[in-house]
Amino acid sequence: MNTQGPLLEVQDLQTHFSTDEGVVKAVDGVDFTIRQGETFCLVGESGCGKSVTAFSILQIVQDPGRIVRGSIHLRQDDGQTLDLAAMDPKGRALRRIRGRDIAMIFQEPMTSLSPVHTVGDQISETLRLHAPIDKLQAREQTMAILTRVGIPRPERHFHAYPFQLSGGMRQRVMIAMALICRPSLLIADEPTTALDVTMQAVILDLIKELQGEMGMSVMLITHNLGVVAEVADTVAVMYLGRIVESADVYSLFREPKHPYTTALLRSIPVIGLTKQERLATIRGMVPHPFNRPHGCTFHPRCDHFMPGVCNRSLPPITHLEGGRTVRCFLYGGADTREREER
Amino acid sequence: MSGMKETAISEKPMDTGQPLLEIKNLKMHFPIQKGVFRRITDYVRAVDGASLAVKRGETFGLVGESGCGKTTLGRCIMRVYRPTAGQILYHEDGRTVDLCALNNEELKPYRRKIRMIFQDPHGSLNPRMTVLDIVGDALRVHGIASGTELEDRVSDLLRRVGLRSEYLRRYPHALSGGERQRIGIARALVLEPALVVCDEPVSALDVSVQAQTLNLLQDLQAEFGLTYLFVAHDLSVVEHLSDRTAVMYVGKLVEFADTKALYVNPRHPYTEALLSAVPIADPRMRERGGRIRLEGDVADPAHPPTGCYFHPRCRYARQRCLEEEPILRDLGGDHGVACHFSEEIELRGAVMVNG
Amino acid sequence: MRTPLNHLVNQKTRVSKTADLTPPKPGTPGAPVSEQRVEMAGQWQLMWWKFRKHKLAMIGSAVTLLIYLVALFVEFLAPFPRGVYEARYTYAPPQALHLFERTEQGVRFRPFVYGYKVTIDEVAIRRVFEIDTSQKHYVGLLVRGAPYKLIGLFPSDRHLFGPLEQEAPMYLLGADRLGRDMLSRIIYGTRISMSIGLVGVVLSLFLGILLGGLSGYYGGAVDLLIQRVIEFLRGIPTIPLWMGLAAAIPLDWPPLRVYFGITLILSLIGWTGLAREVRSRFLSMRTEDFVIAARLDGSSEVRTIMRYMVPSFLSHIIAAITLAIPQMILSETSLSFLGIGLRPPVVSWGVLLNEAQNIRSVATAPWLLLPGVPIIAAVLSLNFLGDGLRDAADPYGR
Ligand SMILES: Nc1ncnc2c1ncn2[C@@H]1O[C@H](COP(=O)(O)OP(=O)(O)OP(=O)(O)O)[C@@H](O)[C@H]1O
Ligand SMILES: Nc1ncnc2c1ncn2[C@@H]1O[C@H](COP(=O)(O)OP(=O)(O)OP(=O)(O)O)[C@@H](O)[C@H]1O
Ligand code: SF4
Ligand SMILES: [Mg+2]
Ligand SMILES: [Mg+2]
Repeated sequence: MNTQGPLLEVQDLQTHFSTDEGVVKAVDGVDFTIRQGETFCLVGESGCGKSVTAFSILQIVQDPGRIVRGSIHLRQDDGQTLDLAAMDPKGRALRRIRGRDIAMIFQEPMTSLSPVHTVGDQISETLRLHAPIDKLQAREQTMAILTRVGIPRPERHFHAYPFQLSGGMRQRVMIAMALICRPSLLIADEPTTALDVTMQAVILDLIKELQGEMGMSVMLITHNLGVVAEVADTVAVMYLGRIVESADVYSLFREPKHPYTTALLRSIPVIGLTKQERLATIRGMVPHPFNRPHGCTFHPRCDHFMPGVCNRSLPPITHLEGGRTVRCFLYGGADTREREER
Repeated sequence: MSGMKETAISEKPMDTGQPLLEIKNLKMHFPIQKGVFRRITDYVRAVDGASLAVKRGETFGLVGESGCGKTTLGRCIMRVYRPTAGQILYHEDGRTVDLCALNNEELKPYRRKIRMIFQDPHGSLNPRMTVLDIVGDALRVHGIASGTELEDRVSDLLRRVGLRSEYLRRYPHALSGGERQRIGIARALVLEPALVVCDEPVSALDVSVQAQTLNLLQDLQAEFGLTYLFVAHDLSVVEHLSDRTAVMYVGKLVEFADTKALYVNPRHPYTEALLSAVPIADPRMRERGGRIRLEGDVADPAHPPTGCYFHPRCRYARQRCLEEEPILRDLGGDHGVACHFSEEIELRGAVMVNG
Repeated sequence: MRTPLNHLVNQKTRVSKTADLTPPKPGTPGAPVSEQRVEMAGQWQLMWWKFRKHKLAMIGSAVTLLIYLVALFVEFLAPFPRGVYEARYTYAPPQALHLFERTEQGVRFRPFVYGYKVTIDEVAIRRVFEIDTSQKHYVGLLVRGAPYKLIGLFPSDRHLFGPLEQEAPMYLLGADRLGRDMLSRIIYGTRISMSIGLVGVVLSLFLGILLGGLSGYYGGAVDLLIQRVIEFLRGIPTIPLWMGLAAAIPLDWPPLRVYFGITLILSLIGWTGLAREVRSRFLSMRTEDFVIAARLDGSSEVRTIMRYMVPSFLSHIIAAITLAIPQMILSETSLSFLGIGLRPPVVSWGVLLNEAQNIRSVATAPWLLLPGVPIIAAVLSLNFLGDGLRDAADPYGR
């Protein structure tokens, strides 16, 4: 693990969607730090706001969505920091950062690759957008990266259209495209969810290897705790638009603090461990985004619910030893009751 | 391998208990049509000679990668399709019927005995019908109940799958994935079946809802004495639920055994690779090393390779694998495998997390 | 969970998912009645909620409704019967309707039109009309006029409005070549033009559902044949085909028979689109999980179709029909305009436009082009309505 200085610092990020029906607080006060060279995993159930968090960093949130608050500080190669949240989403400066400093692999590879251009063209275009090189050089570098990500016969697949590739190959192309400019941060939004376990293992290994080679940081978004345990250095657990707990991966799996993390870890079947026993469950289901519970949003499902405390106000972020944080009254903060939910 | 006894597994009587369902050399080939006159140019061999036996009261897990034919196999058993070849034998009170040989009318009584839970909780419920109609329609069709009796039976069943009877008059569109899947389960159970084919019933669900649903399936099995054919691609879910497990690869069963035996002591290289790819939710196991990387993609079921379908990706493949198709044979102890060299090669099982 | 269906629901009817798996009982605090509304809402209810968000479609349906009401009550709405002519007022220009009369006593509500002063232009050999402010013809509501039978049933001689003295000239939209009131004729044309769309669509719907259904149900050779026929029919350019078929209609046919002849011709071509729609819905629906589930319930083929499949694509068919009606209306108009469709004395918008065909009348009597306005209004509003229906046809967007 690489514990250098912070590369990306997100503070109190809030991204809301104002629809006809009301405001969806998809991301509602998220803080985290990604250090240089580390793998940061954002884990949570469907709809908790993982993708929107990632989109907010690049300011590519879909239309009714707006970043309403918070800062996103990115440290650049020259040591300066920039607040991405304060930049114009359509401006040149931000466009240069996308792809060059921060690259992204999307959940659905088919939607982010252009169907009418060959993969080779798409990758070399991305490169030429950010680097002053000619077509030939771009082609060479594209070929090199295609080979690196394990595309067989790259000179042939250079001219292939995305639909002609299998799911695993497409994901490799996505990775090649993301890494062609050697970004300092790679955001991978569920890069393996659509793939089989065998292909998932190969792709995760590939990302890991390339990360070692290029020294970049990776922000991996997933809902699979197995994947988290395999690749993460630091983990943040998200529930309903907030990070409820963050810790280094070993501490988190050894000793989860937040009741949600604990319950989540207990509810997954693990090979060789839970045979024929009943799984522990979290009762109820994720509330509707319009209808967040007051106070700690997890309180209606929590086994440690303290009436009069948990449903009164939002638990503050509590800092524990080892750089861990948790948002739960079990770990303090209960006396700051006048702090109302935003 | 000359001296080895190569008994095809389906001929061998089961050592314990009478099987409820036996599949023998089942094939389902879908035609590929091309051109203006839709000439059949080729076939997708979705299921290509699968044999298995499901014992009464057990949960039989079926795992495999996407596109290997799990759904197709399940649907053949349900006779959604008419299989190209093979037999699906259903044993009941000492009688045996071949479901493949029956027509729609003759199948009707068996449609009560064998039911199915679908993978997609959205597409499998008619959005234009109330929960009462979705669950109760089967009772109506079979002339079992109607009117208030039907309503009572459905609301009783809803309670057992953990839904309140207010749901009777609701439409599925406003329900969450977990609730919909419970309705799908209720629909499968409403005719009091003996066998339920569960086609990835939890794959589309969230982690926490998945655990609830798996527990529910276990409870219902105990309550109604059900037999499950449980199809999934998540190996840890199958391990958790199944008594016996089979592994499928490109339309064929490559291995089956008691779940524990299969996971601890796999005998087919594909099973080994599959098990080693499963991520383990314990970071301490990270350094276990030796993960097998399968090169290349799953074979195309329209143009499968020669010999053993797995040979292009198999690290133990030899000349014989290219030329000769291995048949599913019993290694003893109800452990079947379709590999020429099972006895010779040393394979690693799943890493077991202890404590 | 990507918040299903919220787009349908306004503030008051929001879905509120409680954290508990089972929702609160109706009537308990925290369970607004509206919450139940969404979950208990059937297909048509949801379609309506979605449809009414489509502003243009709402306007379109209001206008469409209005036009069909006009078509239904033409005799009552038109001030004069369609055949009444008055040679004196050939090509009389439109008059303005004055609502208030200024007299010594002050201004009071008393609608009237001024009369015409007619002179003959010897050079151009045509009548020149001037508004004669000395003559006032008062206009009243529910006046007595030519007798008729409302919807062919109720005898009456009341008209919505008209001149108080029956013989007084009132040409609010001008007069045509024979001095007939354009307004009355346009109103009469509404009935024919709008109904030909409806009747034609019903005919092509019948053919479309029958043949499309057969094609989708049996597949194989039947499907192959029907598909090729459809492709053949669609491949023929429509105008020459119409012309050929319309030319085959004998000149001595009575108007009613011509009317049905033309409708038949239009629907013979119109059904192909619907048949394709039905077939493709049918084919995709057959492999839907919930249809398979119905079969596994033991439902017979016919029952599965009627109970599961038809309700699922009915809304799509309705949308397709709505979009087909304006096509029919336009086709009728073009045929009649070309003089090979309906013929006088039948009055349709196309027939009326046919009379405006020569350059001279366009220059001297541009009001003869006015039947184009209701055509545009009808076609646009039906299209908006159809668009709205099409968008709302599947309210379960995932
Ligand atoms: N365009 C949008 N309009 C309105 N709400 C949106 C939009 N996009 C996302 N949301 C809402 O924001 C919330 C978070 O969505 P997000 O896509 O970040 O979830 P996620 O954690 O990535 O889930 P998944 O695992 O399913 O990808 C959800 O409740 C979603 O309904
Ligand atoms: N009705 C059909 N017509 C033609 N080909 C089909 C049909 N149904 C399935 N196939 C093909 O058969 C193969 C097996 O499909 P099947 O759905 O059984 O796989 P599966 O194991 O269930 O995969 P998944 O895990 O993705 O659900 C695939 O290649 C698929 O494209
Ligand atoms: S704050 Fe309270 S309700 Fe929330 S997780 Fe902690 S104990 Fe549970
Ligand atoms: Mg996402
Ligand atoms: Mg499947």
